[in-house]
Amino acid sequence: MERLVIDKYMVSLDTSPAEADKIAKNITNDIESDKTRLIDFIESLGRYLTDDDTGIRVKALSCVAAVLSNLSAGKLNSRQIAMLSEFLSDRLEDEECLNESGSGLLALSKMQHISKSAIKTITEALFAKVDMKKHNQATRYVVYQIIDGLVNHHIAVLKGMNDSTLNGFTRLIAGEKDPRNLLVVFSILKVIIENFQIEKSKESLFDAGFCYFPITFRPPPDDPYGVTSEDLKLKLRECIAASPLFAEYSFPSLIEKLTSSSINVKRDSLLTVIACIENYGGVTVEKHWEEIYNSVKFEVLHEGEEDIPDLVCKLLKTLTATISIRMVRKAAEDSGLDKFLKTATNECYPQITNLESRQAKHAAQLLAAIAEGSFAAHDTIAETTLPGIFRLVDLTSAATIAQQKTALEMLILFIESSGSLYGWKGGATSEKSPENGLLMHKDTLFELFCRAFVSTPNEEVSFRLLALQGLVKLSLLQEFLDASELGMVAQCLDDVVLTDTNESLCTSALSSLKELGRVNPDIILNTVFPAFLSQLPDPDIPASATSQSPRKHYRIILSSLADLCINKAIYEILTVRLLNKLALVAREGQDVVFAQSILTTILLVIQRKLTEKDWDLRFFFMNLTPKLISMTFTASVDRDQPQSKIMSHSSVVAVTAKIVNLLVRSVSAEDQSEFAKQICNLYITNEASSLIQESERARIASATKPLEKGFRAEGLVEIFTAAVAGLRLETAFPYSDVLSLASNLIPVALDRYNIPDRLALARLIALLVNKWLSKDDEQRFIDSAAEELKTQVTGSNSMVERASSLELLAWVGKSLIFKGNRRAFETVDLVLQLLGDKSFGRCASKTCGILIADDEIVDKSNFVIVRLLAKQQYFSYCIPKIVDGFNSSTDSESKRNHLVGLSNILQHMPGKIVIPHLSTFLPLLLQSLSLSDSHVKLATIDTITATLSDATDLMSEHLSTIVPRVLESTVDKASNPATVRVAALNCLAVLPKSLPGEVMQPYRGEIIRTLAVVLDDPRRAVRKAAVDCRQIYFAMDG
Amino acid sequence: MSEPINANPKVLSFEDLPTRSPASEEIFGDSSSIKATFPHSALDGAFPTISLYESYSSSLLLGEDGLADDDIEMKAAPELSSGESDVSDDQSDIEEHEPIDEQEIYDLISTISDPEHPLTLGQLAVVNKPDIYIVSPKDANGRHQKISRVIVEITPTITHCSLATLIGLGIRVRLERCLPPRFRIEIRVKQGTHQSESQVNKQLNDKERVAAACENQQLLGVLSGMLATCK
Repeated sequence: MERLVIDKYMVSLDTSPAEADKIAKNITNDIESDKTRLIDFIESLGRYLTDDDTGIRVKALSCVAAVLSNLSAGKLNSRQIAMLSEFLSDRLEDEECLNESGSGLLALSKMQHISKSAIKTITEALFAKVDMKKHNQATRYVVYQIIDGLVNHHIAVLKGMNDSTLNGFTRLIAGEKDPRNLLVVFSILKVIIENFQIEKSKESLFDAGFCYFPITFRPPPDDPYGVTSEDLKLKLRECIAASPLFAEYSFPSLIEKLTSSSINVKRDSLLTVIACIENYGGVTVEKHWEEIYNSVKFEVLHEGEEDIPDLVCKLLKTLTATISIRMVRKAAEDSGLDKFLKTATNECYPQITNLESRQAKHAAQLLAAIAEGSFAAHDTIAETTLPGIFRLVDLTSAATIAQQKTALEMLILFIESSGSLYGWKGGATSEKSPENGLLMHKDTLFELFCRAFVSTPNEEVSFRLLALQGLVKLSLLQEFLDASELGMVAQCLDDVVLTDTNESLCTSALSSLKELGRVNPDIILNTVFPAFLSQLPDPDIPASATSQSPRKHYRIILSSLADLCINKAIYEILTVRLLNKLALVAREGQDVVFAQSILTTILLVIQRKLTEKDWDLRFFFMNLTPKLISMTFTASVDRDQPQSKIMSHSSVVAVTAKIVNLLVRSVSAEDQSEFAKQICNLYITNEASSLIQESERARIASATKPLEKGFRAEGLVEIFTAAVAGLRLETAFPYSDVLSLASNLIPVALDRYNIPDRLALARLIALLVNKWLSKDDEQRFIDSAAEELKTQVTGSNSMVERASSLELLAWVGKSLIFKGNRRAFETVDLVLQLLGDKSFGRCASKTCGILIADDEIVDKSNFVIVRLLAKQQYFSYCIPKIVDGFNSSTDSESKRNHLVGLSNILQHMPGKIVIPHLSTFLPLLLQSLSLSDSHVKLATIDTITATLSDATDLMSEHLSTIVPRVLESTVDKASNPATVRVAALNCLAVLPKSLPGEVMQPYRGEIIRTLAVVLDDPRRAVRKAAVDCRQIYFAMDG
Repeated sequence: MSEPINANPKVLSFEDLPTRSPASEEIFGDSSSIKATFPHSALDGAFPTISLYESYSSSLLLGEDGLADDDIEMKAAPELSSGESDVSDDQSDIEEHEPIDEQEIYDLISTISDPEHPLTLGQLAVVNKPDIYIVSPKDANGRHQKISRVIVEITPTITHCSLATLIGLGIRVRLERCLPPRFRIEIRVKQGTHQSESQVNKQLNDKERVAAACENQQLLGVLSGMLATCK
């Protein structure tokens, strides 16, 4: 071993710690590989270790420590460790070097082969020689770490030293204040308390920890160790709760802290008491229940602050549970539990029975918390207390509603505690609970809540809500109500939903029904469905014949039914019943809206389940789709007969199509491929299709050719479009020549004049182009079919022909814009150019919107390819051209068309696309504020409102134009429908929130004055908006 | 703030306050009120009877009867018979007149908060719907005259409530801001609910005094605090 290396280390320790580190590592490696003997290393340090200069001693020792901590744990044998321990323990006297010698010892204490005697040497030396008060935080940390390591790994050795360890340790830690050190101290303390014989020194050990209670430490903002006050609290709590021997000190001390005025101290004390109760065990806690109970009860009875009452309830529950441990069903005579229950009941009972007092409910809360603790406590309290409440409600039937309400609230508290103890239906049932003690009062409880609900006047909403809540809670108790009682509860709930006019009662009843249904689906099938379905209009019985009380509208019933579809089986049954009803209604041929509503109900559930993704809709796809398609086709074939009118009615078909679309969309490509084949048989090749019910197959195949020019069958195309839309891109389109299919559809589309068919065909073409045309076919399609459409738009003499060609062209263009094909802009160019056309400009201005509008069918959700930047691309392409076109147009009509085109585009643009371009077109926007077209105005005002907060400077500049024009729109009822007036008021209301006060100030007076007129608007919604808007200006500073 | 004058007032729960509930309206009438009776907002518009045709108008150029927009002049194309016609919102919109009624006044003032409790005047039953009167005298032809009176009677939580004047003033300021000028506003303490009834009444309906009160910056601060919760 060379001195030189050591010298180098000691020099570089000052200049470059990294270098020193490297040298230490090299030395370690040499020792590790037996190149250097440990003894030589120490000897070569020799004289430095005892040098008179403190600095040199420190450096030498730090070299030892560094080498030792780098050594692998198994390298040194026990003799070497013993030698070094002895040496370093000796050095502990050298106070200047404590950190370094400590670090060395820390490394040694982790060694594998450390002997008992070495451990003793180190521990005793630490206790005897170190005076912690003289050292800084970091050095103390080293010392604590040594002890922490020893108590965790060598507890048996230390236990042998018992008393000296305990005293030494308590002396050592006295006065520690650093949070990081305290964390270590607390965890050492806990191990010691749990493992040592502490009987003799329990008081000093308790004090050693408790002197830090309550922890009020708040970490500094840049705390390097990240110690939080919560960490400290938890560690300290564990120490205090570590041994039941502490009970005689901890409970009185903690109870004293409860009187603190600080809510944090209270909370901490309560949590610590809870931890103590949980850890000390029943025997110990039983001795202390009285002092604990007496000191915490007030927090509940007199409603303490924030979460304190809840914590106390938790405490009482834990307390009860702990002292009930050996008592299964009943508190043994004279046991602590028995006395506790008697005391608590005697105290609370008089308060509970005084319904006038505010404390009644709090007393009930307290008893309910205790009842939640154990079966024995629960059953005793149920037996002693509840009859009193029952009597009270009975005797004082003259009691005010408020008093009865208190009684119900109290009973609900007990039902709840019963539920969390004995279990709720559908909850986790780990083991079988005994029979619920509340059962002895079942009939009384049930009757009482029923009566409260049934015989209270309807206006007492909150009271009836409470009664309802009680009934539902009772129904949800595990093994409590029987089937017939559950049925009665369900009936009460049914009645509310079906007849009550109060919204919150209805909502709560419906959600209760759902909750009941979730644990007991039979209730929905056997009780609720019959009741609800019988309320639907029956076409066989004329409305005048039903003389019952006025029924709710069937839409409410249908929507409630949709809500109740909590599982697949229920929905399956509902679908069957609804389809039967639909068949009935269709046969009658009268009520289109009802038929449509029935289908909408089915749709609604599918929609919800699709977003929730909780059940597989494949079953419905397989069964419902063919059924609906078949019904529609049959109706279409026989459309002259009255019973077919309904199913082929456009508004019914629209819903049918939507259902088909969603169901197709929801299944896998595998399931889709067979369906795709069948639907193409039906529509394109007109062969027999398995989608049609067997008896009609042949007839329909020969009679319907929905995609042929001149064939008139409203609605059928819509269903095809919906089905095709739902097909995934992976699903091969069964008809191979998509290009000619799409091209051939164009003349068909141009020939149709009814809205649903035309829209369906336009969408169909757009879908085919977007989803299934290859790149080459796309170009071919543009060159031939689209080009032809263009020629018709510009060349035809008939306005109708021009318009319908433009319409189709727009849909083709939209599909290409979505797909990101640049050639789409050839169409856009044409449209923008047409804006200047005198007779055709208005059509063009509308087309600007169609080209980019979101569509429910041609949409991503239907696997349509939509490029990320499609909208942005379109927008930044159009805006400069529209602005130029506007500026260069001379006649007012053309100017107007440009403005309308702009607003039609803006309607479909999200704010973040619009804002960067705002300055280019804001002048145009302001001009369109003075147009009379209300749709344009609405779009303009909405754009201003939406972009205000992101373009404050720009808007501030133009405020002198914006405010008067918007204000004008609020007053002028003749040219502004209510929707525009409300939008204008909302716009005004947003101004002060987005723009600085001094900018708005000049307009304040005028706005307030003008809005006074709007306060007399004939429409309530407008007045409301005016009131709110005006209030904002009144509240402005100034 | 010092000890509240009435520390334990009776509080009504929100469910028990009067609302413009469908119960009092026609349930089986037009579609807009049906919508209102739907207890679940998610259902609004789910039944697409109306929305169906709105979506068409923004997707197509040609209308049902073959005419594009109303502004394009061209001959009607071959027509197909079809049941439904597009009823636009706007037309029905202008016609319908919804007069200002007691419920509307109630909605305006019941959400004002009490100066000493974090509760609204509606919850504390200081303001009650049956105690609001709108009086609009009829002229010789039986038509309602333009000038109307609104009378609001307030019920202080206790008979010696010294804040009754402040509450009354808050209601007056709120109504003056929210009602068109053709309404004359009168705020009174309900008979038999306050020790110095006539005095308070006088104070609340004396224009000069009200104006003077509104000049007082501190008072104005308290008032705007009370009005801040208005919905």
